[in-house]
Amino acid sequence: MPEPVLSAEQYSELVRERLAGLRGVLADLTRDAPQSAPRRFSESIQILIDTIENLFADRKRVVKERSTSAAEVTDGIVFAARWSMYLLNNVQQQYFPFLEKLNSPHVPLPIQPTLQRIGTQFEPTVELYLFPTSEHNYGFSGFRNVVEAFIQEFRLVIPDDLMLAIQERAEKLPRWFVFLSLPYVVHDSALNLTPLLHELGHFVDFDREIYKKVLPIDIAHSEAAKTLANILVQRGSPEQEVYALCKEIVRKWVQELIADLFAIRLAGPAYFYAFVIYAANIGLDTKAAVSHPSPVIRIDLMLRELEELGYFLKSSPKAIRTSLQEWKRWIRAQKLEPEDTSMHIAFLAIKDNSAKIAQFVRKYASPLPYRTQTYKENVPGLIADLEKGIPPIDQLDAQGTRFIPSDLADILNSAWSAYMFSLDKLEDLIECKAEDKRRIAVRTLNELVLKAIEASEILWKCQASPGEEAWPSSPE
Amino acid sequence: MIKSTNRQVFSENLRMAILADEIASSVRYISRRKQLGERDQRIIDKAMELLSEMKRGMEAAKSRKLEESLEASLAYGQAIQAIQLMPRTSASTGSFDDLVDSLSGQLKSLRAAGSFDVKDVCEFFTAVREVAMAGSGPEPESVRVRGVDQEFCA
Repeated sequence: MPEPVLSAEQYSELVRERLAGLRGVLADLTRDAPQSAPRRFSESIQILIDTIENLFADRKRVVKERSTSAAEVTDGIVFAARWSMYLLNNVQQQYFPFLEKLNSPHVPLPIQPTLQRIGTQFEPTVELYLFPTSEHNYGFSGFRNVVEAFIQEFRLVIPDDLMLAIQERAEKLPRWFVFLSLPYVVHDSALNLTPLLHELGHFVDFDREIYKKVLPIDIAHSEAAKTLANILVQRGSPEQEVYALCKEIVRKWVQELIADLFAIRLAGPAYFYAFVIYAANIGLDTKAAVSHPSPVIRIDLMLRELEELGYFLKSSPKAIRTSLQEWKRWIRAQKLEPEDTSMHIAFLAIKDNSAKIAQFVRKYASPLPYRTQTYKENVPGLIADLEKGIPPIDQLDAQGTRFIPSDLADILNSAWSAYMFSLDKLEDLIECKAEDKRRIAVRTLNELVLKAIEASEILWKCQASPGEEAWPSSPE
Repeated sequence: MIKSTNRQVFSENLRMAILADEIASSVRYISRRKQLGERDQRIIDKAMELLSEMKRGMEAAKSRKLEESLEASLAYGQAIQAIQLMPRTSASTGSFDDLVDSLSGQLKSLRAAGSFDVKDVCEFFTAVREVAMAGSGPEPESVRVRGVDQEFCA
């Protein structure tokens, strides 16, 4: 083994310096953090840093005990110092960005408690945070069993007493920390917060492991996909590369489609409209990426699910039905197949399995499917409120004796319906220059809806008896 | 967009590096003490498991099987590079299969306390450690620039 230029002691000193540095930054980041900050996430990071420190100390002891020469001791300690530094670097790189945002100007995000409540229905200990960023997209970042996963990786080298001590500290930590990111610029727009339901769908997918029930999808089982793959191979692409890339695309697309289906089943047309408006900014076309299927593929699948939920039935509200039928006509005229051959192969393989994907999402991810009947019963009253400039916080029950707080899905559907079909009524209430009316009406609509989301959540919390679930169990 | 899922501070390379280091160090220690405890048995089992994983990776590469895990393929790739770092002995100059069989034989014999000659096992796993660790490091620097003419940078 070649002699290192730095001594074992110098390497150990580097680790000590890095530990002190990280602890200092962590303290700075959490000291003035608001009450809503992810404090237990900081606590997890603290445990990881302590664990790495203890592990390094233990490895030094073990190396000294096992070695018979100074060179062996140096080699062992230098190696342990290198991986300790590597782990500390990764802790900084992967976890600290979520704490750095704490010191940014306060961003009111009234939808957070509601999303937290929905997330809790799937995993009672989840801690969910919203994370405005300067990127113009939405994102999901999830951390499952932060400390537990770390020590499991180390189980062969970690002494039993240290393992027990860490497990004890980690016992009360949540199983999941979830950060849903959104474009900073839309943080005060309820309409533009609707796509967060798709990100929540990623959490549910990973938590329930729905993707594992769907994957792997064997490309070779689809005749059409196999034929295309063979063409690529005949053109000179290595067979293994072709299949590996297609497999990767299929995996990623399946996860996106699961999240879309989850959001549709949770919020019905509201998510559909939010998606098509968002996608329109990028291009409502067949352009797919390795990470995401094209908007047209996603729209096609969502329309099928809305059909399953009854939105194309004659009994469905006319404005919604007519609008969705227009989208259906539009999608029929589109070419769904991606231009890129690898993506085309993935598309064909997924197409053969789309019913299976939908079935699994229905079974595992949807506690309360948002059927057309629910829309008909709950949404018109809320739209009427919005049209009068009233935040749709609650409604009288059928007996007319009790105010029921509005559900998030109902509020978002009333918002999207008002935005799509009757914004003129809100415009009529506003006195300003004609050219400003629409813009001010949209801003007012967003304010009313955010107020309704915030106030209805407070009502939910007040009305739920101790120990009673705020969200009823699935009827399906 | 999924920015990350179930993130860990480990990479596969680091997992392998730490494991290989622990195997090399423990096996050397067992050979010196000439006695085996319960923990030592677990380490030997883990080493044999790792060798099987490498072999599975080799078979997957030969048959171009896609079902094989990323871990097995990575383990095989690291093993191939490690052999090149090993001193030129009879163990490292034969086929990959022969090497894995020979190392497995040494480990089996060690587990049965029949022989405490583990030189090849130590050398192999020390080399794997170095290969895996070399693949773990972060980029030393990131350079991003906007509004600069890059014509001369080609």
